[in-house]
Amino acid sequence: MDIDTETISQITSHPPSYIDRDKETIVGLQTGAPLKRAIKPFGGIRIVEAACEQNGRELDPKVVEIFTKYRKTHNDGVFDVYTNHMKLLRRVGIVTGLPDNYARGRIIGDHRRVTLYGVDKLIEEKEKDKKAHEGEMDDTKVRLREEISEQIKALKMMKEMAASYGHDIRGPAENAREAVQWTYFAYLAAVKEQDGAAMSFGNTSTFLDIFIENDMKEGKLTEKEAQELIDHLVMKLRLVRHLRMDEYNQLFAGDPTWVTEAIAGCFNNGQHKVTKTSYRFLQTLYNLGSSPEPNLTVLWHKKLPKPFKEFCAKVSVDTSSIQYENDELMRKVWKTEDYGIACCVSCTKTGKSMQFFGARCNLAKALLMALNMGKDEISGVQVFDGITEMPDPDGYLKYKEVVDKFKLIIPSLIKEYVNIMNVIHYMHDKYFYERAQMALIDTDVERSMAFGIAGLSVVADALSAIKYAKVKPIRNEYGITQDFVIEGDFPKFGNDDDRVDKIAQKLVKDFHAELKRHYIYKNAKPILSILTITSNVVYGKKTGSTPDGRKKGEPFAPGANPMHGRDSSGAVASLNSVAKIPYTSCMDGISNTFSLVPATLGVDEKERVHNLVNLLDGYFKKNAHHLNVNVLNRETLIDAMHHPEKYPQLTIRVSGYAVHFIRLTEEQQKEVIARTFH
Amino acid sequence: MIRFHSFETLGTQEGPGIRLLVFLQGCNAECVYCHNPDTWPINAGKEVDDEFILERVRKEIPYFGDNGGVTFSGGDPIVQMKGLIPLMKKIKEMGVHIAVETNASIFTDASKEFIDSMDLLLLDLKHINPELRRKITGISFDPLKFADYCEETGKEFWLRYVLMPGYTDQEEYMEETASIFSKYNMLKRTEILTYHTDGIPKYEEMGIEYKYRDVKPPNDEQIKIAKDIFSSKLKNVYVR
Repeated sequence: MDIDTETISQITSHPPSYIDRDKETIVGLQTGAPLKRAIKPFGGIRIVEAACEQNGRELDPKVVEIFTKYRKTHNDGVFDVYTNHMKLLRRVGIVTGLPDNYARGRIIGDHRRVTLYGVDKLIEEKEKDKKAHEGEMDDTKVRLREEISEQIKALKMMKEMAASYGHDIRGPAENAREAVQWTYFAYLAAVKEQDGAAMSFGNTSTFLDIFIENDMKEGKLTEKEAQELIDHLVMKLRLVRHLRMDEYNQLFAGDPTWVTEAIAGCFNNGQHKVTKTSYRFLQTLYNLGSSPEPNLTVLWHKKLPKPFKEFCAKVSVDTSSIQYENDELMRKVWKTEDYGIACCVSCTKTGKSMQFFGARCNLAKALLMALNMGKDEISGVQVFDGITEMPDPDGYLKYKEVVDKFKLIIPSLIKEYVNIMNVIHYMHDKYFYERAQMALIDTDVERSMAFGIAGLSVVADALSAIKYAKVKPIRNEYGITQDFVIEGDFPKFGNDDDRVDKIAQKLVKDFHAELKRHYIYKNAKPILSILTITSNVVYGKKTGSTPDGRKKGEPFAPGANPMHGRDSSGAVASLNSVAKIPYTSCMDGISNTFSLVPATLGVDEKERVHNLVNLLDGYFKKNAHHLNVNVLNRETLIDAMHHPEKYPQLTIRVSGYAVHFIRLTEEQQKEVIARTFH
Repeated sequence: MIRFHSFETLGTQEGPGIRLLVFLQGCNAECVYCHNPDTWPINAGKEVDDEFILERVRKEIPYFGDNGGVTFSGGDPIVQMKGLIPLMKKIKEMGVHIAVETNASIFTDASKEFIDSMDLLLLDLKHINPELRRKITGISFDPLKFADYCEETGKEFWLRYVLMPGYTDQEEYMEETASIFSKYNMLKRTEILTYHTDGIPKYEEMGIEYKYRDVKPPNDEQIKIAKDIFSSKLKNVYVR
């Protein structure tokens, strides 16, 4: 792996660099060479050191010295403040994947602003904002004024960076090439400074189309050249890389960058946003081959033009590289008609809102703690106090008692989860502030804090088993559950059966209601996601056997998916169960990853496309939020496991993002193969 | 009441578009290539009322789009046609397209009403030759009466033909089939279903001996021959 181990990466830290200067219509690289990864030690020096070491490289001792002796990092700040109990929660894995040892990401600058207004105008506006916040200097005002100052510096650095490539971005872009280039420069500034888990691109295709159409009308641009502009932009987006350590890769496998670009959708007046450039972005999957990045996300609406819907479905059938989200639902709930997708599934009002990313907690482990006197079922360590022994005189779990105990665990968990988040984001702002992105967002920004749940289907099924079947825990000598014997059958999430689906609904509603009771950093609004990315494997590994019949160490289902193989009533029933999870309680997103065998979808391409369009229309009509679509044979994946050399570009959707299948670990590959294929 | 076996909520192989498949319990034949022997006994499965099925239909309506709907299969729906007719009428009132897959083995006045109540017949032609048909199904009947009635009343139908080497792949009979069915204007599509052995575990579970273990699924060559023969006289021939 190529790493620039000496240069602390900032907007202007690297000289202009090219792949092949004469052939590039869109220019700009993160570092001095393509695919060379940058160091960003403001997040944490030990992380950068470890990542270098794990890749057989040594971090420049000068950098180490600066960031250990003189400059504190985000990671240091967080651990200075964490209490022992917070560290315990982290250690036992009930709250994991926290952005305390990697950058939080998920903030999307409105990159179009650079193109539309030019940077000088943006600086002028930020200066005005700063002026508007004078007067008595309380904490909030001091902090805000410092933040705006940083944003202005970032804007100035953007101009300098662009100038080094020979572009003057002081004023608005005047043609298509400038428009694409400047939008990319704005994004490049962000990925030069930040290595957040997810660094989305935004919602640019329809915006860029205006410039392209204009140039074409004036005879300055041909269709071929227009497509080339988008191809070259996408090539650059595919080259984005971040330096990660192994621990991170376990959670988020396949080296994802979440360069998410949202495409299509509608305006509130019913007019759709599909343009030729929407097609041009999707077309890159043919011109350049299938690929996980950029994370192309179609904002689906029943009113999108039929040929566009059919083209999207064809792209899914051919490449399994795109995902779909419900445009109508997001516009209604978020009250916006201009939004992008942060990371995998999270709606963000472009230039108007941002979120504090909060990873997720392990709900299955929380349930086990309810059954185990507040102790971690793996280590036996006491995590939460005040949970009495479970009375099971006849050896079976009683639904009401389990629910009562679980109701005691959840508020304790949430209280501490919120505390942890407040610490992390305070420190991230302090030591690793996203000045380049925030410079392209309104100063008066709406903030949300995104919490998450992993293991929803495990817990719903477990409670269903306890309610509708007979579940007997097997405890060790310390009274900790080791396994469960289930007698009889029970309704399982994923079969469109209200008896269990309502349990899942209630779990998320209660969780969200509890979150709202707490103070959140910078008065952000708490939102919730049912999304695991690939961490469902790691979470499963750290969780003992659960009362639904899942054994110790076995993966959870990803996101909001039903557990592997338990959705046995066919794909539509499975979709309907997930569609019942209320988006109003889970505004950060409800991720569903769906694998279909080509033959299931139809006898030939025409039928497959037609049926997939109807499937998407139906699913979103049910108010569902998100769908990853894979159209693949299980045999293809098994073959790819054994002969990776044959499948360099095989792309699959895993959980809100796509990966090259051969880049997953063996464990994750097996988990993907074990998922239900309809 | 209806004897019900199971639902498959994403059917795409049994009729056009996305379909809710309703597998019914009970069959009057025991076809050699059957992969659902568990649906044979009429007394197995569970008894359900119309509402049980209608509830599932309602949940699935958003997915039907412009051409999907409900398909009754089995078992064979024909053994319960009297009970099905009122249910089919209720589904029809919901504006949902109905297809029925059957061996077409019983032709009575009730069968006419049965056909009238559906939008599409999926005619499982077991064999064109009566004697070989009896060998495959264990019963004697004339499926062409269904096809004739469809032709008379303007009811669309599809032909479904399981290609099982040694049993249904005789070229002369496939030619005869193609030529007989080429006369039906209401035949809109023909599907060759390649024989497979995925049902064997079900036989084992039920303790029934599966007698055709030696029969291999048709190879590409055999499939091509069948497809060419059917395509020479029929439109829209597909292989599944």
